[in-house]
Formats: sequence, C-alpha cells, structure tokens
Amino acid sequence: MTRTRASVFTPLILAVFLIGVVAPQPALAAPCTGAQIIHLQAVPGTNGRGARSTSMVTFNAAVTCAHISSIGDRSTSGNGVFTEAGWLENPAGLIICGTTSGVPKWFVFWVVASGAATCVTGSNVGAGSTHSYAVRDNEQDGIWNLVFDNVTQATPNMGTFVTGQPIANGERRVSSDPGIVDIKGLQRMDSTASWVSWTNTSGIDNDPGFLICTTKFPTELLTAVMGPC
Amino acid sequence: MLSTHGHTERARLAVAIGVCAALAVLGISSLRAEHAPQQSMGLPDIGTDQPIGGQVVTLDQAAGVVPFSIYRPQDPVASDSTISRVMVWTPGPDSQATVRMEYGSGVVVTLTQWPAGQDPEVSYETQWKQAGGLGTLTTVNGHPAWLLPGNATATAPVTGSADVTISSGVADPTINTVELTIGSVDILIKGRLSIDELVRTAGTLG
Repeated sequence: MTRTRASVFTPLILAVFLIGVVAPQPALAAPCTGAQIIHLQAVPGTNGRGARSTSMVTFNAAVTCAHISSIGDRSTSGNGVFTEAGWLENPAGLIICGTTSGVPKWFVFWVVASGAATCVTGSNVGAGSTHSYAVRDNEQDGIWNLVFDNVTQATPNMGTFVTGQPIANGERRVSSDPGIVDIKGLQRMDSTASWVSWTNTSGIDNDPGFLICTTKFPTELLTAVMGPC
Repeated sequence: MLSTHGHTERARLAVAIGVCAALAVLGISSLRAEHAPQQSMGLPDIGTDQPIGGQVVTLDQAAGVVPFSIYRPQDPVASDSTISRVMVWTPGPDSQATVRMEYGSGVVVTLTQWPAGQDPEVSYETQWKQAGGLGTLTTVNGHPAWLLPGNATATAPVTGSADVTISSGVADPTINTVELTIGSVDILIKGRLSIDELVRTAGTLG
C-alpha cells in the first residue's frame, strides 16, 4: 500500500518540481504577450496578375490582439513585395492599419521592394456579411488596383512587380484569438487578364489550433478548429 | 474487494499521470510562448523573404535566361568571389524575369526589368510619396536611387478620401535597402549592413 501511494504521488511531486524549474514566471497581464504571426494560407499552383475572392465571409468573434482574413499576391523572388486586401480586427493596435473597436473593417495593404509598407483602412464590415476583395495589375504596368466590393480603394505604384503568387490568408497573433476564415470564390488573374478559378491548390498551415479544410479546395479557404471541417 | 481496490489504485495512478502530463504540457507551452522568435508584429504579413520557385544556376546560366544585363557589385561585402547562390526566374506569361544573387555577408541583390510605361525615377518618387516620404531619393553614380534604412520614419502625411484612414508608411526595421536603376534594370540591394555600406556596394555595380 505504501508503495502504491508512493507510485501515485511521486509523479505529482516530480511534476511540481519540473514546472517550478522549467516554466517561466507568469508575465504581467498584457493582452498580446507571446504574440507571433500565425498563418493559415492557401496558394494555387500557378502565378497570377492578381487574386480575388468573390465572397469573403466576415466574422466578428471576440478578438484580443488581431484577426485577419485576406487575399493577396506576392512576389516569388523573396524580396518581400506584396499587395493585399481583406478585413481585420486590430483592437490592440498591434498592426499599422489603425485600431479597430467592435466589428471588423476592410483594409488594403502593400509592401514595395524597398520594404516600405502602407495600409488603407475603410469602413466597418458587419458580422456575417460577405464582400468581394481583389488585387490586380491587369495592365502589367506595375500600378495595382486594390479593390473592395468592386470599388478601387488604392492604386499603389509597385515598381517592377507585375505578377506573383496569389494567396488566401487567415492570420492571428495569439492562439487565444479566433483563427477562422471563410474565403470563397478564389480566383487568379491569368495572362489574358481574365479571372479563372484556382487549380492545384495547396495549404500552408502554421496554426496549431486550426486546420485548413482542404476538401474545400481549390476555390475556397475555410479553416476550422481541430476536428471535422 | 481486492479487485475493486486494484481498480481504485489504477484509477488514482491514471489521474496522477494525467495531471502530470497536463502540467508538463502547460509548462512546455508557456516556455514556447516566452521564447517565440521576434517577428514584425506590426504588419499584415503575407510576403516572404524566401524565394518561391526559381532555379539555382550559375551566373553564366542566368545570363542566358533573362533579357537584361546582370549588373553585379564588386565590393568586399558583395562580389563575384563571395556569391553563395544565384537564382533565376524565367520570363513567361505568369512569371517575371528575375535574378537573385545572395552573398556571404547576407547581402541579397535582386534584378528585375521595368515594365513598359514605368519611368523609374517617377516610380521611386511615387512609391516614396505613397509611403509617407520614407528614406531618401537620390542618385548613385548618376542613376536614380531610393535609400531606405530600416529605422526611417515617415516625413510626410499620406492623404486619401475622407472615408478611409491611411497609415504613415512603415519601413522594415530588420533590414536596410538601396534600390536603384541602371538602364531598364531595377536593382534591389538588401542587407543588415549599414546603409552606407550598401550605398558603397551600389556604387560598384557594373
């Protein structure tokens, strides 16, 4: 009996010791302690002169740090260049697009080759509503159109960037924030400046708390908490 | 009775092991959060500094693929003798001709061609304005250039329509950049070296 009690309590004592030695002291309360960029993304197998979602669902869950749903087009040469459009919640002001309060706002964003980043943030988008978002350079002149609900919101000069890898993106900064996105009607602009559905879509999942519902590929990026999609 | 007692002991043991496992997982999770790598938290982030696709080639092979001159620096921090990798992207309907040269110092030089209709000098000025006046527009050996140190701050407001908010431009704090144009070729020099070293390097392009 004594041996049995020892076998029960010894691991507990060891565990308490282990936690005391290994675990860091709790940080002071801060909304975004331990923030890191966590992605759930999908990309097609072919580059494009633009990317579009004809119907991106807006979610308005309780967000502490940041929650982003977007589409974009990024340079493949590793120079960091991209254009992006979508909605975000940014209650802690962690991201340069301005602090949001309550419901999400639409935004468009771009980074040019020098590394300079600029964000344009617009009006609220209501929970449950769906909107279209696009980035495109159909003229192939380096001047991109960043579009929300079929209205061009910014025309950044992107220098020599005219085509790249389309991408659908779900993003958060802490694992306690929501990570769900539902980006439907994924299209890329092909070499004839026509919108075509994605093919050979693959996922990039750096989010341990959510998974990509690959059954929705190639035209939709839907994420879900671990479990059935 | 013995059997029941045995079940009770096993149940206690199972609970204890479960508690230990949970505590250990909590401890490890906390540790990971504490030591997460520092990233640029302030940006929506779908860009990448890692090449996607492209082929690893020699300089000679790259010259046979792209329709422009491959201007190369000859500076102690970036020269033909210190190239660690050359990559090329073939021009095509969905691909942009690009050469990327990586050097032992960490400097990366990327060459692309200006599209028809773009004037490099005008483009730099427009990009500079759209980013809130970040960095300095200048020339290097008479070629138009934009110098952008990572610690640059916006010098001018960015304005737009009344119903939107436009952030001041933000530089990437992790890197310094010199971008210049020779002929129709845009040359991007990025590195963690000082901006002066990158400008010196740009001055050796040929």
